[in-house]
Amino acid sequence: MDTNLNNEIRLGAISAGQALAAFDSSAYPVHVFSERHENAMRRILSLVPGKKRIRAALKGLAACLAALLIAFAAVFCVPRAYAAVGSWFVRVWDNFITYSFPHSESDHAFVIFVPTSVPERFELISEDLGEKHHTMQYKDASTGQFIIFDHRQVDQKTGDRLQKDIDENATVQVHDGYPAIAKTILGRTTLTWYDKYTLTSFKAESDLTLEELVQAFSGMDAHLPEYVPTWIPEGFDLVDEYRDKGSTTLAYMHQNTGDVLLLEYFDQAIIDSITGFMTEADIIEETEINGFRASLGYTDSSSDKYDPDSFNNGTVLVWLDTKTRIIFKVDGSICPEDAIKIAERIIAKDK
Amino acid sequence: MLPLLLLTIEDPDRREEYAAAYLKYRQHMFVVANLILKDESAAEDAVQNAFYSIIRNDSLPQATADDKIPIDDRIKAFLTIVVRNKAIDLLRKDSRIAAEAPTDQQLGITAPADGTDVEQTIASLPAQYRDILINFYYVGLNAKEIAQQEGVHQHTILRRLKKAEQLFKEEYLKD
Repeated sequence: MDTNLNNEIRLGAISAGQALAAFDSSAYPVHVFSERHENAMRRILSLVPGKKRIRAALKGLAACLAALLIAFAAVFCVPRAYAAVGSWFVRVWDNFITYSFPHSESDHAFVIFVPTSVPERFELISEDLGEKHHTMQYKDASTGQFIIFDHRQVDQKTGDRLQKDIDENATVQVHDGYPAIAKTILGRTTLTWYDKYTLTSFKAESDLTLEELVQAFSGMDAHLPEYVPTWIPEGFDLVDEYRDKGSTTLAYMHQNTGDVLLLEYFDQAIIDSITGFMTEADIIEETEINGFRASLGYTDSSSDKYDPDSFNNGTVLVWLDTKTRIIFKVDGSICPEDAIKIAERIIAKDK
Repeated sequence: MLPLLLLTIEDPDRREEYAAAYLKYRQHMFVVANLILKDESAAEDAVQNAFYSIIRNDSLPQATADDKIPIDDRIKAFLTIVVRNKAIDLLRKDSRIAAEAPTDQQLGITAPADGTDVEQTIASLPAQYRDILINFYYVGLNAKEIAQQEGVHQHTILRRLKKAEQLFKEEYLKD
């Protein structure tokens, strides 16, 4: 589809959206909502996860356990059902494979954090990025006020000592809730905090007031480098791109077949819980992508497990770049050779 | 199942956004639902169902730094789509209410009949495909967020987007 037509679609969709937003309902009589409705809405908007929600969760859990109990009783009483469930379990067990990656506590990658709440009047005037440290200096040209933000990776022992000090002396919270030690001497305020998961110590220093400095460091984002594939199989177009904290997904779709291809990458140091991926692929092979161990999963089209309508027919290729601690995943309706070709040609965007 | 049951909104600012959106647009949502259902009690139910589904998926559009379209307009369009679909769901479920759902043109919530070719083409698409284009290009939701709101896999949304584009192309080039 050519660019002009894509633009027409976008303009048309925007116009249709504007028509929806422009719909004037004020011409209709004002409705007085019933008490029943307002009570229901209060419940729906009652957003505190309190007792009712916990009670609902417990009820759900109890219902699940009861259903499981009944299912087990039924299965063990009927030999044929027992055999069928047994063979189903073995089949599922054979098909599901979890990739796992090494995640050593002592081998953390240095995560670059960027403050997101520094007031706009402050301009970044210098930045020093080293292998294990990052320093940023901001200045407000109109008032001459400054902010220095420094964070660096420390060893486990130093980190433990810092954590202990912070646990005992923290008086404020910054960085989305991290406790911090605040000190003000001769009009100069310093905040110190520590992230035990990435072994990072943070320090912010400024001539702002304590409240202003705390506000300036209330938000923090982890900087994930941008990667792009320099080769994609013919016919696939980029249709979506979305970024969460520490992860990015590029979604491609084939112009003619509608097949989907996803390229995802995650910062393993941030997404601490993701240490593996599951696939239903029929064949799992160990391979290498640019010198890093990788797992390649695909389903052989001649296999009896191959279902032409299933999304699981494609190829999934996962690897961990142990230098940057970034996990990459290529997942889509493509052949294993193409998945490897894509993987080998992914580059950092700023290179 | 448990994570679903425990799903909640924990951010106080976000709570205020939802409460504000409800107070601001409840009359609007009621009018849209009542035009379809012609039953005040059922229309209230549609408003509740719409908000429940939005809160459950935490899909209310949020303001971004580079917003080109005002956030209020995006929220209004989004809520209109959700409540219209919830009202149609109720209409289909409840045989006591008239079975035929009015189209958006009949409700007067799409482009006017004398709109441009592009507007007319978009207006002629089935609601399912028009909605997805509006949610994607106007409301600013990505495929993942639309999938969560619709309760389908994001692959399905990507396929629907592709299909919507194809339908648009066929219809647009026909004239």
